[in-house]
Amino acid sequence: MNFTPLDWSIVIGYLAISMAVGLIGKRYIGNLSDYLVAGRELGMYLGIATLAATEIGTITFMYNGEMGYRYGFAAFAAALISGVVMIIVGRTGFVVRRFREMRLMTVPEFFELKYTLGLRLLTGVLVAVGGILNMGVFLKIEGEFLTIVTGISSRYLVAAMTVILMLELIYTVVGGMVSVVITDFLQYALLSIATIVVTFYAVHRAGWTAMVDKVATTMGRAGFDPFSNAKFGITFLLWQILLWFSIHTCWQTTAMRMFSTRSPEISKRVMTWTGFIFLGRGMLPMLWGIAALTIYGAGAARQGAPAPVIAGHTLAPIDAMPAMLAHILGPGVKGLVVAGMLAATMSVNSSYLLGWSAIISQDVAMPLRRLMGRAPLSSRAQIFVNRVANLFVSLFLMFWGLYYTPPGAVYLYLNITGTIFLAGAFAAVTGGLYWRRASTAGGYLAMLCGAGGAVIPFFFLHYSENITGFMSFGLAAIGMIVGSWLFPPAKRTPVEQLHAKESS
Amino acid sequence: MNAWRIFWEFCLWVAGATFAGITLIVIFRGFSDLREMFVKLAPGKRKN
Repeated sequence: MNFTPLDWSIVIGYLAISMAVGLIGKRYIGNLSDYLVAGRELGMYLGIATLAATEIGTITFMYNGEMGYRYGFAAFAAALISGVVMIIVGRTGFVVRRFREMRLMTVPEFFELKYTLGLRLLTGVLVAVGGILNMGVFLKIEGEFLTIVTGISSRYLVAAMTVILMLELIYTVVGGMVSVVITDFLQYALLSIATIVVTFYAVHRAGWTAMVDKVATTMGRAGFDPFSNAKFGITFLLWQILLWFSIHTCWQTTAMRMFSTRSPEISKRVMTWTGFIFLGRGMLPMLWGIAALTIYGAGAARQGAPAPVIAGHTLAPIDAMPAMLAHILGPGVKGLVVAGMLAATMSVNSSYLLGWSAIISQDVAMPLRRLMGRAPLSSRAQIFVNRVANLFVSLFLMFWGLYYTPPGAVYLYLNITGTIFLAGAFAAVTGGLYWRRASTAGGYLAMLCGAGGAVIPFFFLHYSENITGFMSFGLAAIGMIVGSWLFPPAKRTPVEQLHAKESS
Repeated sequence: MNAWRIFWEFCLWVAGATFAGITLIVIFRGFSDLREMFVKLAPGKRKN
């Protein structure tokens, strides 16, 4: 056991405060808008905190740490792209400003405004399936981190992760976005402090010069130059640019923060400043991975990087970073860092629970009701459906997430599962917003080609992640263009009316 | 290789400094945003 009573008391104290704070949100839930987008009352600083907390989890630290361990400084290219693209989206307001002006609550809602109810339903199903499968690996990876750093036996892993999931579920179900935002603020503060503390510890312990030398001797030029690294190269970089543009504009949990801001201008500012945080979100944990490589990278070489060896045991590269933390952090600091990582875990999971359950209720269940000719549900009834969907997603995560192991680097697995719906959604959204000829047929083809372009090459033809991801975006764009040219739009939609209003 | 090393070192400094700086600002100024959100969402004080 690596944990002292002081560490345990810090962690338990954090969990208790987080839970108490989360339950405050319940008293502010009056209608569906409060529940899903916090009444659109987020100011800039709160928006930055909740967006950053939502997209920085233990899973983020783990996969970025693994990237740093496996690919050295060249991995920084992925972090740089994610941050710079976010800053560009924020400065230009690309997609996010128009989305906010439309007062959406979910991304697929746009598909009904621009295209048809049927396409909203198809997009809702693809987004929900892809998103939940994507989130499905979170619990296992987060559990691995906790067991390695705290030293608790892996047989308690399922129980520990179930308790954490239940805590997140309770305040998310009860207080919706308001509770999520309040806890995100607390969690953002804690996880950021933990990130800074760990960075100092890791670099101090490994030594900057030793880290650079280790990458140079084990990986050579490929450890620094992303263009000469076989895993990256120009295809990877182009795919990453497209992927991050689509994530920052069409990823439900990110978009929900934009929908929740007080105005389109605030949504742009939140996006811009969070872009700078995204640079650190990627590069700092990658640096921890490089520090772990420097300290423990003494095993046989595997795809360029030597396997981590600790006390005679060879570990997987993804486990090197948490194993390093277990060894280098002292009593008290370890408790603070684990509380910070738990904060990161809870902020991501609660936001994702709310995001994907909102899709299931608003873009799958409600459209199905309408297609069957049923009357619309009241705001209170819709909140109830959201809560049931929350429970459903949690149950799925418990059973799937703890037993499924993703193949290869987790970062790339998450990217590919996200691409299944992001490629098509990005083509349909940008086409729908910025191209007057975009039609429903183009939207359907974009979604189907994007999903097919990710699933078939990756799972059946076993192409690399880079080729698969790039191909998926390319096919989705071709689907959008070909479908729209062959079957042009027949009528003016609310989106065109918004365009006309802007130009007049 | 040396040029890449210097470039990543520069990026790392920018990333670390902005991460820490924005965190400090957000922690201090986020409280007023939080308070304002509570006021606007309080039952009986809604705009519409």
